[in-house]
Amino acid sequence: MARELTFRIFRYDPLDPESKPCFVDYKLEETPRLNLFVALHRIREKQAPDLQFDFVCRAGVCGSCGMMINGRPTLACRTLTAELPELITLAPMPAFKLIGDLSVDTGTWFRGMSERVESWIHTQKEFDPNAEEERMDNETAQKIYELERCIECGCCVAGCATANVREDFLGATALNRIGRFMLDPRDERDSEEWFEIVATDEGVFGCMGLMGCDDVCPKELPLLEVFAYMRRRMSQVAAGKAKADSGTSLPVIN
Amino acid sequence: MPQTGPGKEITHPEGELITTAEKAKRQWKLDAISTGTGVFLALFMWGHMFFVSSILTGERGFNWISDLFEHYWLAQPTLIVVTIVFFVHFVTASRKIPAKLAERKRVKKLGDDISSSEWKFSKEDRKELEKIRPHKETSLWIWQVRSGMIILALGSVHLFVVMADVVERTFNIGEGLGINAAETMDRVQGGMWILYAVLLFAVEVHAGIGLYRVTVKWGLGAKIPFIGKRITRGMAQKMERIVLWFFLIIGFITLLVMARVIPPPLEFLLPPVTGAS
Ligand code: HEM
Ligand code: SF4
Ligand code: SF4
Ligand code: FES
Repeated sequence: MARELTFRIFRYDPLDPESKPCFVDYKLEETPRLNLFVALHRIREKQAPDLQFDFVCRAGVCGSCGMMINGRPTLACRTLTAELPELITLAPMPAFKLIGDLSVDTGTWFRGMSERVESWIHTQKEFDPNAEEERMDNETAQKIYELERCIECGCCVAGCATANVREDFLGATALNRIGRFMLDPRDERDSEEWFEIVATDEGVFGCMGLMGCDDVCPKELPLLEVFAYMRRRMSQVAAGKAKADSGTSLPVIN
Repeated sequence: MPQTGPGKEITHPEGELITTAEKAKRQWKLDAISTGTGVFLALFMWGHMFFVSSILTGERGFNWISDLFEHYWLAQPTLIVVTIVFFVHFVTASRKIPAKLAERKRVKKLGDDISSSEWKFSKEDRKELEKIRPHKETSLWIWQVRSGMIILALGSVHLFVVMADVVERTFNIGEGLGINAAETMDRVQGGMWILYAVLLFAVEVHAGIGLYRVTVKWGLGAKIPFIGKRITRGMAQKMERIVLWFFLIIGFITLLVMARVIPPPLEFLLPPVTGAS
């Protein structure tokens, strides 16, 4: 017997002065291997043509479909209804600006984050287009890649109690990004410079170690390991013991 | 978002002008102090439990230890240091508690939602669902705040009572007995057991969660010396549970002996005395 699912969906259009935030129920019959990507499209086709939500890749790589599914921030395209009870509550992710219904603006947030952590290689080296590219050893490259897998879905921010109550908190994805550049031998930022960004209440010392981020990250990034490493390293800097710069000992668990 | 790039001058909420480097240093220090004092207190509580449980060997064992500590001036400085650390920990650790009620409610709601059982965990899809790990820590943290508040209230009373005893002996005021089994047992039997039972529970829960969180915050992924394994969350969780139950059980047996509900179970360890003690 196919189940009849009830989708309790948050509806609100901030641009429409008539609109008031509320939850609306939509019924849908469950089909085999139904995921929320298909389910939401079916609801939009037949029942709510003005329903707003985001999907692009529908394969868990673009990071645009993050939403609160029964209270847990995760990727809708990778969520099967079979994992859920008959009542499925969908809400937009908190901590981001609401565009409408289930759609939030993660882009502006992530751009701001990238600017704050200056998410690009800092180097004084002159670029020589004719020279052979510098080689990176395989181990380092893989460690960087592990952190680079972040798809900027924002789930870790929505699931973080600290980010929910402190607007200026960098959040797990930002700390992860910093970890990525700390690892990169091409980046010339030294420990002192990192210290100013990382060792603050907006950075790793604002993090209460609640692990919301680690538990909800759909890409299963080793967020907690990265943070623990940063705390240790920042404390070495504060104690004046940090080696000039070498982040390559970051213990990423594969 | 506020501007907090490196090397920029920023204004402190109190109006003082400091650089981001100074600010970072200050915030690192405060966090390190709250963690350091927390760990110190937890380790002290282990030692404390060890010595208090000397009552399990009977009154003589207990008195011997408390006499020793007070006679050789070990109790007095320890008491002062622990009292100071206790309040420093309270001040630095409670910085992390959100100031507004609405914010605290938000934290609780989020923790409840993420860990809720609104997700099915069917056997067939186990592997797929393993990704949705049950989340407890946000709620654990809330219990740490709550137990901390209980410790603040009851622990202050306890510190005051003990201090009064020690001062009595040190300066030879009144009977000048200091900490001694008979008086302590009278007190516990006379009703203080309620306070100590609650305090014991709060301290063990608070210290257990606290040490677990310190491990996760600072140690995850680090190699354990000699063994070479990396610390994982699961390992930390297991350790926390063992330590919690170990101290809770010893603690409650000690309390039962103190309240004269059961006789000291380890009295046979001490040689019997001839004549009155
Ligand atoms: C004066 C009463 C106390 C209050 C109000 C209090 C409050 C707190 C709070 C709110 C935290 C969380 C801090 C954070 O998330 O960074 C905390 C952490 C901690 N507390 Fe307490 N506490 C008290 C007494 C104690 C005592 C007596 C012990 C030892 C048994 C203890 C051991 C710890 C430990 C080990 C931590 C973990 C530190 C960390 O996570 O960085 N606390 N305390
Ligand atoms: S560990 Fe907790 S406080 Fe820290 S970033 Fe993750 S969710 Fe936020
Ligand atoms: S760290 Fe994980 S949860 Fe956070 S944005 Fe990246 S992929 Fe999403
Ligand atoms: S649609 Fe791209 S991650 Fe879900």
